[in-house]
Formats: sequence, structure tokens, C-alpha cells
Amino acid sequence: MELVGYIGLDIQFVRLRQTDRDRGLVFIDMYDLPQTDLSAYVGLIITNYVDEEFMMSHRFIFEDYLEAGGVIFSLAEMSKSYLPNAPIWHRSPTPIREREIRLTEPVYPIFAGIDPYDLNYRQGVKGFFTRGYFKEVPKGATIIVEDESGAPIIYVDRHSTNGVLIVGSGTDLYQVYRDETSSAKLLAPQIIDVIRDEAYKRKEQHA
Amino acid sequence: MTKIAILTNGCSFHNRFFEMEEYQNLYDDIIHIQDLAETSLSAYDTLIVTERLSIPHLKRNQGKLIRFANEGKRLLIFGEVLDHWFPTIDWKESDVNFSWWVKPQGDLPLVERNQMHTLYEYVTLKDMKWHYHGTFQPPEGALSLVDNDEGRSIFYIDRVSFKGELIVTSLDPIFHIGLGFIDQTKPFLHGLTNWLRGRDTDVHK
Repeated sequence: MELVGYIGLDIQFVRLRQTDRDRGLVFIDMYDLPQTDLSAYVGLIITNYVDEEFMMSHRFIFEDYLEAGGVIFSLAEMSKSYLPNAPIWHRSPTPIREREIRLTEPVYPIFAGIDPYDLNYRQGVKGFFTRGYFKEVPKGATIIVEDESGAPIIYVDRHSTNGVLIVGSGTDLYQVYRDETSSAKLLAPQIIDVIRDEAYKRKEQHA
Repeated sequence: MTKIAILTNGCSFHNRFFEMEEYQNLYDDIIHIQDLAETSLSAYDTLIVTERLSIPHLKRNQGKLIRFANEGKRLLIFGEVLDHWFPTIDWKESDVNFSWWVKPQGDLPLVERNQMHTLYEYVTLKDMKWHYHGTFQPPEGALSLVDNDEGRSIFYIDRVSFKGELIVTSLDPIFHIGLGFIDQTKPFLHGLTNWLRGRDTDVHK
């Protein structure tokens, strides 16, 4: 099975379960990154719990990984830009209850079969998907999720590097929707599948 | 005046929280968890362990933190105490009830304990009511200030286990303030700050 690395601090909210491991997700303590051979992973997920100073001083690790054709999905609400051309997160001025997320067309396959309502609400509560936005996205990037005002929430950048960089201004979409009973439960497995698919396509292009 | 240090892990919520002037009265100095082992704590009366810090780093500094509490000082611990990273704290993870406030007659059952405690001059039970990710069984002789409906604490003060004072809570205000949601966290943290600042540095008075 092709493995996907899940990078974060070792805290309660980052720890994986057996179902995650069965999908090929592997926890990587972020402080071990300098000693980790990332070529073992077809893709990397960066959680919202990372030491940004450490990420900044080790950003070459991600640059090298992307230059080698890797896929990174960032779920961090970044206050420092440690990924190539990635903008920092801003808190949305729109109150959470008035905010709506929209999937742009064509719907990115991570969200295939998912009702946007189930992403906007968990048990009647809004705001889990995102509380922020990006003021701009890199040139050539595709916005795959936006809010009701058109502000970018997640984009895919296939131009800044040789790899694929998916950057969200949301929360940890993998963990937050993991136990849902709604259509949003598709999100976690589809994130892994799409990372593998993006890596495969990139490899084909470079072959 | 009491001198307070606070630990950070450099997460985005930490970085944003420390940029907010409104909360800068909570602490005098910020110490990165990676620097804790090499940093002298002798100048501080209080050390705040913020929520969601790297558990391996907390474990590596366990001896230092215990020594701090045994020097008669005050250790305030927020968040999850996984893997017994602090040995006297009995932590149990809970399912998070994050939707009680949108349900008809919804409630998060919490009970005020030891209402005469001075903290209640600064915060109310309502200020501490948003959600919690786990609970504690305080040691014999420690004072719980807030219990859940199973009689387990989400906020307690332990003056019996060490020469100093251990304040333990599973509440997570710094995370929420840093990322700008759940407004109940603000009066709680302001009240807690005033309580910490308003008291004599001798924790046994």
C-alpha cells in the first residue's frame, strides 16, 4: 500500500486510529522530519498542529519533496508561510453563522458525493470546515472551495513546484469529519485516495 | 508582583494569541517548549502550560516541572494530560459535546464546587462553559471548582501533592482565542488573569 504521511505535533488531536493506519496513513512527529526519508510517502498531510518556527527553518524539506513530484495537502491555519508561494490564513470577518462554503465546479474529487450542507454543519453547528480564508492564491492555482463572498478557502497549485500543493484555510478536514454519519464521512478516505491519485498522475506526467 | 512565564509550541493559534495585546497581561515571558530544558525558571512564580503542547516534550521536562511545583511555585496546566505526562494528574478523555447550545433545552451539565473559592470572585460557571475534551479525578485533598455530571473535575486546584500549587483544567481558551472562535473563552481568561495577578505570590495564603 502506498503510504501517506500525517505530520504534526504528538498531541491528542493528531493521534491516529487503526482505521486511519489501515488506509495507509502514518503519523510523523514533525520534529522527526529532518531524520525522515519522505520518499517512503506518496503524499503528506500537514495538520493544524505544527510548530511554525520549526516549519519555517525546515521549509527546504517541503520544497525538496515537492520538487521531487510529491503531493502535500496542508490543513494548517498558517500564520507563517513555510510552503512554496502559500499565503497565510486570515480570520474571516463574516460571522460564522452567516458563512457558507461552496464547492467550485468541477467538484474536486475529495468532495465527490458529499452534500455541502454536511460540510457546513456538524450536528447543527457551523464553522468546523473553516473560520478563515486566503486574501490571494498563487498564480495559476485552482480554487476548489470558496465562501459565499468568493474568498478562497482551499486551492490546488500545480504550477509553483514540480509537485502538487493543496492548501486549505480550514481546519483538520481529515480528523474533524472522520466520525460523521452524514455524507461528510466520505471526506477522510477520499482525501487519501485523491492524494494517491494526484501522485500517480504527476508521476505519469514526469515519466 | 507575581512573575508569570507561559509555554508555547509555536502553533498558529499560539502565535496569533501572543500577538493580541488584550491578553498580554496574562504573562511576562514566553518560553518555547523546545527551549524549556535549557531555560531557568527561577525568576518565575507561575508557569502556564498551554493546551495542545507536544507530549514527548512535556514528558522530557517532567522532572523540571515537578521541581518547579515543589519549590512552592504555581503551575497552571491547560488541556489534555495524555500518557500521564504529569504523574499526579488522573486524566480521562471524553467525547466532546460541542452542539449542546444549538439543541432545544440543550445543556452541558457542569456543577460549581467550592463556591467560596476566590477564583469565583473573578469568573462565573457560565464563563467556563463551552466544551471540554476530558476530565480529572483530583487527588485526595485537592479542590475541584467545576465537576461534570459524572462527578469528575474539569478544573481543580491541588495544594497537597507538592509544596506549591497545581492548577489543572481541561478547558482550552488559548486555542479558541488564538483562532478567533467561542467567545465565552474571553471573560474566562480575563478573569483567570486577574485572579492570578490579584493574589499574593505566596500560594499558601
